[in-house]
Amino acid sequence: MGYDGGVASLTAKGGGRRRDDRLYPGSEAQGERLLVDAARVGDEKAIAELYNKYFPRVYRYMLVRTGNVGDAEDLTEEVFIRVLDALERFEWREVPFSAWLFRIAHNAVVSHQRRDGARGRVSPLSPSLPVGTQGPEEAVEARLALDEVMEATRNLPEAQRKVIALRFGAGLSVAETARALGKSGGNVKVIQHKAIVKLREMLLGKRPEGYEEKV
Amino acid sequence: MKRRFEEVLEECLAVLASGQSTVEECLALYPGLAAELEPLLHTARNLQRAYEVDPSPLYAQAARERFLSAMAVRRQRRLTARPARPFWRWAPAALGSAALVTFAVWAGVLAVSGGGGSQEIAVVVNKIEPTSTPAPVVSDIQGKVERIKTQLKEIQTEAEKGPVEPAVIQHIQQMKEDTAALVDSLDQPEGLELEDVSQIDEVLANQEEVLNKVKESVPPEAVEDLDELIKIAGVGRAKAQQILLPTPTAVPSATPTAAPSATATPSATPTVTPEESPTATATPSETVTPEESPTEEIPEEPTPSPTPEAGEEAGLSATVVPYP
Repeated sequence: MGYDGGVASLTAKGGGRRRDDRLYPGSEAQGERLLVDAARVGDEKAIAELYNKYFPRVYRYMLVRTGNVGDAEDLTEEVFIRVLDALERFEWREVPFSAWLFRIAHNAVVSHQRRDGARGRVSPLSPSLPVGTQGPEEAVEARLALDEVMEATRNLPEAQRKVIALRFGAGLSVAETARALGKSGGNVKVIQHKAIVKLREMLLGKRPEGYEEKV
Repeated sequence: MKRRFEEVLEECLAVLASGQSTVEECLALYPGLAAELEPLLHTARNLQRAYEVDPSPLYAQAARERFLSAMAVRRQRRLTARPARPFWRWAPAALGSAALVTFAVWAGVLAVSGGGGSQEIAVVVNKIEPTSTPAPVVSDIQGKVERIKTQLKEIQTEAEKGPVEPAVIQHIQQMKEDTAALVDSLDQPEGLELEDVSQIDEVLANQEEVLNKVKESVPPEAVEDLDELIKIAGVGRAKAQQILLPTPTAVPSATPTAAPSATATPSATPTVTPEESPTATATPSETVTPEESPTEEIPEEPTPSPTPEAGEEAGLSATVVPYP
């Protein structure tokens, strides 16, 4: 099955709405390069800025990968300590900084799973975890949605879970995800497609009829 | 140009995430795919929203403090490491160098003056040389890694076109020598950086994958060499994994004043509940894999693994980066 066309017209008219830089940070590449270069030579302000920028993204990634708040917290810190030690060895060899960083994150998860035999170990998310909503009702709804999504994500095959964690948890682009996982962009798109289909099936399976439009 | 569904899906996700269009606008561009696209876009939207979760402020604050203190510890270490090298650390090296220079000058003078001792000196030097050669030279390792990568690419490209040309087969011999040298270097890990081991591991993994794929495209006389090469790569990977895997965690040593993060954050403590089964949720994730549609052009896992651990290992080897 194939189709003609594209979304160039949509991207061209752009402008008016908020751009989600968390998911598509490409426009910041130039500024980030300067920041990373400064950090590599030991500029602590630059290091702290990179930390601020990536900390929530690494945390979300860890949360999706481990499904466990405690592990996500420990691993997030571990990643930044590793980054701190490895930063001066980082080189711009066609690999964006984000892909490099999330490879370290990926390796940290793998080491953790081997170390603790923690693969698949789950515990409910902390009720105090902020979910970016305002009112208490919204917070409860968001918590339920997050719990459901996390549970469904845990049941994805490993490769799909990795892609979902990087794309939707860490907010990497397809190209960055491909770099981080050592796969091709096409492969990542295929895995992403399968993962969304599977997640939809799993989420729909949990809900009574009539909820379909919302999933 | 005809385009595949997953590409259309990704384009829509990209414009949705950038806030440049709505689901409806995106669907209008692909009316033929709208029925299939719409539910997936809604699911993706919900995923995005669900994952918009932030770490608890208490934890974020504590983690930031620990990170800053780790940074300070490193700064301190750098400052103290440079100037204050104790005498006993540099003296032997300095004395050794001075002795070598003196010896070389003396040998040169004797040689120029035609003294009968020059032959004896040559014998002594020959005896000394082998012991002073360092075990693995890193640049040599990188050179070999790069050469193997290039050759693998060529073989792969040839195999995609059809039967592999005999000229390319000649690479296999060279590759075997390079691979054996890399594998040997892993026997002396103390002479290697972890980054080098990672690079070796990555190239060996790539080698196994590519060579297994092209096996059917090479002439029969090359198959034996190819098998041997794959075997060497396998041995090398096992050695590399042994060096790489029990990675020490830097956190506790780097932050001596900080409390362990699990106890530092109240949000972490109430999350452990005994009623959760540790394996119940992990098993289905693996059993789901065979249900994946076999009709897709791009395989999800290039080298499917029989067990979760092996699969994970493959994933690791493909993407491993130097551990700090």
